[in-house]
Amino acid sequence: MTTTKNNYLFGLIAFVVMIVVNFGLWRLFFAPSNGVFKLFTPMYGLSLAAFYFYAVILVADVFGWKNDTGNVAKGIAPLITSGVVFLVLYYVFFWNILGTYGITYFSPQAQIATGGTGLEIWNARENSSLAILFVVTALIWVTMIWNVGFGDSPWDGLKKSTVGFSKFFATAFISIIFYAIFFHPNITALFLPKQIFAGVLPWWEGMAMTASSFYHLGWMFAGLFVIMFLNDCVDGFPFNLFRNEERSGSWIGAIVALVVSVVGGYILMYIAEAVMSYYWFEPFTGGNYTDDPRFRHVHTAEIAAFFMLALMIVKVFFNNVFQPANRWLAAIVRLVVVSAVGMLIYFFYYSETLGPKFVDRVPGIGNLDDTSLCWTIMSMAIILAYDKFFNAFPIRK
Amino acid sequence: MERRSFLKAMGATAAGVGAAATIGAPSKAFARGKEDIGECKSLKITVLTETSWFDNDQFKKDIVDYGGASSNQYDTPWDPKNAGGYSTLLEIEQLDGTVNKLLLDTGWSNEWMDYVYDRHGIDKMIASKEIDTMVISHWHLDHFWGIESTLKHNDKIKIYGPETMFPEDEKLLYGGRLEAKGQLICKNDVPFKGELVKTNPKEYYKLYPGVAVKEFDVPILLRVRGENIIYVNVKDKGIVTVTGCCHPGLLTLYSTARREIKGGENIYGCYGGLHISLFENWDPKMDDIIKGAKAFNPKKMGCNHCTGWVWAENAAKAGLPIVKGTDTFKTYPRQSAVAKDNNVFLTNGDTVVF
Repeated sequence: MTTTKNNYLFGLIAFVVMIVVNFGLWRLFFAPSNGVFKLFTPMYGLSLAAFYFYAVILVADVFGWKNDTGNVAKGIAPLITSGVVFLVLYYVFFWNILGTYGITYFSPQAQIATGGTGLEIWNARENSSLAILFVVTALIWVTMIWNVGFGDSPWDGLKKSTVGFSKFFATAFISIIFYAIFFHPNITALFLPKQIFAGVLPWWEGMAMTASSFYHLGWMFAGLFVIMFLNDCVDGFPFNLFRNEERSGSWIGAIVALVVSVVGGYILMYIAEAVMSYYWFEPFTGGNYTDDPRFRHVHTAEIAAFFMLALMIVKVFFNNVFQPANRWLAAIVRLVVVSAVGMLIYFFYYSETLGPKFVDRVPGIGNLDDTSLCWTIMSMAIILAYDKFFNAFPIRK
Repeated sequence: MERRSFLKAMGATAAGVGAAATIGAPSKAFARGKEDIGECKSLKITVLTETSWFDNDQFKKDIVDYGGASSNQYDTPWDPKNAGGYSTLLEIEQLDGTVNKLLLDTGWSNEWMDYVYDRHGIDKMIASKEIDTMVISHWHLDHFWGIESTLKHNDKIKIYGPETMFPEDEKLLYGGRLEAKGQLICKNDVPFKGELVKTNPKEYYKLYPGVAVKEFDVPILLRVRGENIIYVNVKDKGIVTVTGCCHPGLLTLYSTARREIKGGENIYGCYGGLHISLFENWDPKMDDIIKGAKAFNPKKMGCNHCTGWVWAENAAKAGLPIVKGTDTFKTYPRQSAVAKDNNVFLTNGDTVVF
C-alpha cells in the first residue's frame, strides 16, 4: 500500500481530467458511430485495448520502468515505449511475423489468402483479434499472478533489464501453455472444416454449455480481480507472507497466487452466473443475448473488469479512501467501496441514456458485438499508465 | 453436484446479495400466466424476397469501410447497386376457412421492391386493402428503407414496428430523404398517414386468432434496437416463428414460447432469417445452435437471408429438418452471389406451408 500523502482534491481533479481523456481517446479510436477510427468492431478494438494494457504492465511491472518521482517529464519515455512495444508486438510480431510465417490465424491477410469459408477482411480480422485477445489475456493473467507471487524472484538484486527479460520470457512461456489449453481449441474451431489436427475440440463444452473460450475469460478476469484486490487493498495478503527482505517472492507464493486466482475466480463466476440465472433464467446451449452461456461467461468478465476499474479508481485517485490501522477492517470497507463504485460503473454503462451517449452505443444488454470489456480495459490502461508512468501526478506528494 | 444444481443453490443464496448486481427488476421471475394467442388452421409463407443485398463482399466492405458492426446505418453511403430487400407474405387460414394476409417487412431498394410487389401482385393486394397490415420486424435498412414501395399503394396501411425507433427511422417513415457522405441513401416521398403501433416487449399484439407479434428489446448491429417476432400457433401442430432477421435468437424465441405462450411447449418450426452466419463464416456458437435446436425438436425449419448457407448446410447434415427450396429464384432478374444449388435456403419465390 502506498505510504505517500494523498491529496484528495487533486485526486478529484485528476479523476475528472481522466474522464475527459477517456472520452477523447474513446471517440478518437473506438466509438463505433461518432468516432474517428471506429476500431471497436468489436474484437479488433478489444484486442488493441487489451494489448496496450499488457504493454503498460510489461514496461512498468515486468521491466520495472516506473516513474516514482513527481517529475512528469520522466513518464514520457516509458509511455512512448509502451506504445511502441504495443504496436510492434501487435502489428509486426503477430500480424506480419507469427501470422505470416507460422500460425495462419494470427494474420488477417494470411487467413484471406487461404480462401477459406467466410474469410474476408472483416471476419479474418475479427478472428485474428480474438486469437490475439486470448493470447494477451493469458499473458496478463500469468504476469499478474507472477508479480504477486514471485515478484522479481529468483532474480532479485540483478539489473532491471536482466530481471525484465527473465520475467518476460518466463511468463510468456507459461502463458503459451495456458493459451494452448484454454483458448487455442476455440480458435481452431472457428474454421470449416475444424482444424482438429492443430487443436483438440473444445474440451470444456460439457461444463460451459458452449465451445467458446469466453468461459475461461470469465473465471480468469474474476480471478484477476481477486488478485488485484488482495494486492492493492489488503496489503498483498496472503502473498506477502512468502516475501522477505532478500526475496520479493517465492515458489510457494506463486502457487498460492495461482490457487487463489483460480479458485477465487471460479467462485466469483459461480456467484455472478447464479445471480444472472435468477434474473434471466437458466441459459441454454445455442441461446442468444442473455440466454447465451457465452454471454453469461463474458458478462462475468465484464463485471470483474468493472470492479477492477473501480478498484483502480479508488486506489489511484482516492488512495483507497480509508486508512485504518486494522488491515481487515480496511479490507472490508474497501471491498464495500470498490463494489459500490463497480456497480455504479455497471449501471452507468448499461443505463438507457448517460452511458450509451458517453461510449456511443445502443442501449441494451447481451449483445456480444458490444462487449463493455473494450471500454473498461481502455479505461484501466489509461489509469495504469497514469499511475505507473506519471506517479499519479499531482495527487501524491 | 451437477453444475445446474450448484447454480440453482448458489442462486438462491446469492439472489438477495445480488439484487443490486443486475439491471432493472427481475420481471421475468414474476412472469404472468401464459398468453393465449389462439389457433389457426395453417400458415402459408411466400418468400417475396430474401436477397437483402446481392453481393456479400460489397455489403461487408461498406460496413468495414464506414466503421464496422456498431456503426450507424444512416452514416454509410451504401452501394445502391447492391440493394435488394427482405419481405414476406403470410397467409393465415383460420379455423373457419377465412384467410388473412399479412406483410412482413418492406425491403430496401424501391426499384427491387416495386418489381417484387408487381411480380407477386402485392401492390394490388395493398391497394385493395386485401393486405391492410404490415409488421416491420426491425428498422434495419434491408427491412424498412423500401417503405415507399408499400406506402405508394396505401399510405394508411396499419404498421406494427418496434418502439425503439431512432429519429432517422421516423423521418423516413413520415416522408423524407436521407443522405450519407453526400449520397442519397434512402427516400420516402409518400408520408405515412396510418396507425403505427409501437410494440414493446411487455405485450403480445394479437393480430388474428393464432397470430401474435412480440417485440424483443435487443441491441442490434448497425445501431438498431429491438425486433418484432411473429408467433403463429397452428392447430394440432404447434408454434411457428416467423422472423425478419431473428436477432434475439431462434432458441430464445422457442424458449420464450414455451414459457409464455399457451401451447408453446409444442414447437413446430420456423421461417425467416435466423441471423446465425450472416457473412458465411463459422464460429463454435453455430455448433451450439445446432445442438440447442435439436433439443427443441422442431419439425420444419425454413430459413434464408441472414441464416448463412453454411449454417443451413451443416444444420441439414446434422439432421435438423431444413426445408429445401426450389430453383424459382433463378427466374428473378438478380440472384445472391452466395446462392448454391443445394437449395438449403427457401429463396425468392418459394413457398412453404406449416
